[in-house]
Amino acid sequence: MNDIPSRRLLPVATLFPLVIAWVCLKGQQAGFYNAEFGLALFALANVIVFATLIFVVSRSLNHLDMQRSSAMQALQAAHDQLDQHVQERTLALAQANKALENSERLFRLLVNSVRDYAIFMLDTSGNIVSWNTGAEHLKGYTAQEILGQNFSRFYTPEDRAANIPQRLLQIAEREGHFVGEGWRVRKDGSRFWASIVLTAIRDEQDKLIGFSKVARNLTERMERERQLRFHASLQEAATDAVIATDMNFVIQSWNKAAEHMYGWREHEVLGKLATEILDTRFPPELPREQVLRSFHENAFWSGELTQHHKDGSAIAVLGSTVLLKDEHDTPVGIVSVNHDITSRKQAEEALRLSEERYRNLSSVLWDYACSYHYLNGSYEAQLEWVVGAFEEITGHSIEEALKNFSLGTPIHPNDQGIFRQRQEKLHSGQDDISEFRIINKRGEVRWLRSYGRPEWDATRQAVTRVYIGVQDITERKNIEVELAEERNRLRTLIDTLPDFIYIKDMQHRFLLTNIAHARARGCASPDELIGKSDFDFFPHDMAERFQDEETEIFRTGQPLLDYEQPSKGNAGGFVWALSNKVPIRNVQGELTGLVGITRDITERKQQAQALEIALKRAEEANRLKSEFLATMSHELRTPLNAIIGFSDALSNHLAGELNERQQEYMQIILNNGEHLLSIINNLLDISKIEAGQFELNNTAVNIAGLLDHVKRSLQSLADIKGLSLLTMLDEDMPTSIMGDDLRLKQIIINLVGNAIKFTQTGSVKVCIIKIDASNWAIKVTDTGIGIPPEALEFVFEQFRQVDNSSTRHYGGTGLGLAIVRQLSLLMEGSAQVQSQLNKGSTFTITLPLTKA
Amino acid sequence: MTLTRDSSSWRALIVDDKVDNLKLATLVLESRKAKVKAISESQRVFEAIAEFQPNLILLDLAMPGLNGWEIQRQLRARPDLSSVPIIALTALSMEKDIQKGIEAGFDCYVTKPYRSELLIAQLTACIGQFIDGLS
Repeated sequence: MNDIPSRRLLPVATLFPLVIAWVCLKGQQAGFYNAEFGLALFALANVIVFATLIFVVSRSLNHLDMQRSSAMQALQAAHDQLDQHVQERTLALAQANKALENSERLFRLLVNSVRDYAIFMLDTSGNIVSWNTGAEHLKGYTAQEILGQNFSRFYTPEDRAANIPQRLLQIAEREGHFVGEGWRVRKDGSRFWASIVLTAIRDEQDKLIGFSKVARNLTERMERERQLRFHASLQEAATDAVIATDMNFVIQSWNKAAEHMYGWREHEVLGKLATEILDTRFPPELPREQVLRSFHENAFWSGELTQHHKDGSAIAVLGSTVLLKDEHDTPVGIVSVNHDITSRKQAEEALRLSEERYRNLSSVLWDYACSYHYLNGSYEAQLEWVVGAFEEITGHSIEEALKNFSLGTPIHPNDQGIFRQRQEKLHSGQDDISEFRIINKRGEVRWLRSYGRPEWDATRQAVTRVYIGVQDITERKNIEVELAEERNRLRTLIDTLPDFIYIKDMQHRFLLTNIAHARARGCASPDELIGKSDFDFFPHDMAERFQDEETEIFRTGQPLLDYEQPSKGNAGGFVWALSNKVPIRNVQGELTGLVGITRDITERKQQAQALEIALKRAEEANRLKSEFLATMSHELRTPLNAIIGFSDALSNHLAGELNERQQEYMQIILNNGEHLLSIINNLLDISKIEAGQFELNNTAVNIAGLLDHVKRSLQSLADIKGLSLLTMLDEDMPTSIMGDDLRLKQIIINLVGNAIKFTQTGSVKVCIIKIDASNWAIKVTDTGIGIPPEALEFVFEQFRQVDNSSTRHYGGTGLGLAIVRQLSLLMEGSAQVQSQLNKGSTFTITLPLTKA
Repeated sequence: MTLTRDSSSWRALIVDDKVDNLKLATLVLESRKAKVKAISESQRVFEAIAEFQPNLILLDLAMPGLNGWEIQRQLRARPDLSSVPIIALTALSMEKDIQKGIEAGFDCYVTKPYRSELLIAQLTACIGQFIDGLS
């Protein structure tokens, strides 16, 4: 408590009894207590108040005394000090003035010599009034150049436009100074990042007299800061997890990549054990102890391991761990950089699978694919990649080919042109599909079908690579060639055939035909018919008829064979056509059309008709000839009947006796009549045989009877000439055979009659001989004049006799032997003669033997 | 008069367009005591039959107008002539003619030219067969 309140309390103390008295009275009136208690209370209160007052005043008086004495002492001391101070100040002022002078000199020196800081003064409107070396260095202006110029020229045009320099001056004037950073411009126009301090300078009257400006180039610092920030962000932005732990693997830092990679946020893992969080496991061949030992020895470990994501999934990790040491080489922590190689592992697996697939694929492919790389833009190309049956096809091993294989397999000489064109096409950037032959390393000719696709370089200036797919089509080509040859042969065949050959579909349209047909339809080539139908070539009703018959074939599935019908010919004329139409089925057995062969048989028809007519005419002629023969026979016989009949009748005295001469002459008439009759009979026989009208009977013939008849018929003739007529029957001969009795008699009688005629003395012998089981013979042997050898060959010919005179000498028509031979032939036998002149002849008729 | 193998019992009607032949046949048959009527106009044959009442008829075949075939066909149709042999005496000597004649029902087929003895022998044989056939 100070003396002031104490002093003021004294006057106030007089009022206390009054206040206490009023309070006590009021309390009594209110009935809180009675008058006695009130009085006592009043007295007590006064005593307490006044005692307190006396105590406070006394303390205050003491205090005032103490203050007064100390103040007196202080006053004395101050006075002493002041004297001393005045002395010191006087000295100091002198020193200070000196120091100030020094300081200002040093300051100017300093300011001028500072290179890193541009320090210059401005007047109140910003014009430069001083310029130091640093400014010269920083801004590029010399003092002479810049003094008096406005400082705003150091600012960028953008800043100047925004009136920044003036505003900065205003801020500095108002605030005392301005501190900031910003781009500034050098004399040469280049920019630098500057930190500046702009300070207002005022005189003693606080009047603004100018500004000082200190600028510093912070470009480098900014760059460093930028780099620092970059590194920091780099760590944060690193794709690899960067984890720092202390020596006990307690996590100290955990970057964004780690968060991303493991799923744990930084705040979740800080302070926790990395080994537990990550559940790190090493590969089986690399025990944890070995890793730790290696790490401690080398302060570094790198390798693949497995860690785990927050969700428990395994992560393949390539980890690098470094031991951090302080400057005393004491280990202080561990930093791990972990790279997630799960996808790489998956990619490796995928690659492995792909390679395996590729190997398997190669082993099952019949074809191959490859790529070539063009060397220096030339046509020369180097094989760089192959898959498939390359070795099988080319005979070169892939290894060998990859080293040195520039399309080295020789192209077949005949396909060089195709191959060259293909190379040019590919080289010019076009796709190509070609087929050509190679002669492979084993010397085999292989047909290849090659698909090529060029690849441009990035600038699309040149083709750098071609991809090629090669099919070995040798087999197909061989078959194709074979088929083509076969087709060609068949084509030639059907085009050579004069018949019309065609194949029609179910709509009756021509699918194929040949030249003969095309010509018949008035077309230059078979192709012109393809797709057309009969309606394009034939009158409507005819085409309809053809179509109907084909529809029937399609309906029944049955072919139409050897069908003759009228058709239209080449020049539109009528022809006869012979058609065969056969349905065709595909491999499923479904009808797909028909194959037809039509032949123009008009000529054949005409020939047949002509033949028919000719045959009719021949038949007619034959009939006429037969009639003629019959008529002739009749007409000749009729007068002969009178001649022979009357001469015979007269000879037999039917019309009276004749004298000897008459009798003789009548006999001459009769003989000549008989001779004429035999000539006529023989002529008719020959004519009938030649006309094929001679029919043989086939009845049982008794051979003995036959011989007997001959003997009886001719015995008298033989007797007249004094010849013996002998007959001999082979005992092996069946008694009865099948044959024509009449004609057999005619043969024997002719032969025997002939023999008698040409035999003067001796005998005529008739023998029947069985030659073998199926042949028998009639032999007539005489002892007559015989036949000269030169005449033997034609004794059986008609109208031939050994000499012309013989006819006159021996008589006869010259037809007897001819008839014998003709009858023998009719009986499917033969007639031979053996003869010796003047000794005799033997005629042998050999005939087939059929027992009756 | 009944027809027998004996030619004297024959009443022979001969039809032939050739008079020479008629004369020859007449000569031969009459020389054997046969009664003969010869006509050269074939259409008169029916009249002659009615008139002459032959027991033997010899027909030439190839005749103008009514030929021997036609006459035989008509006569064979007559029951009253069933006991009269009808004989072809003709120059048609082709085998098919002979065949045709046999088939047509001629009782004998004799071809011209003939010798008298042969004719009589043939006729005798033929008539013998005919008579045997009737009995």
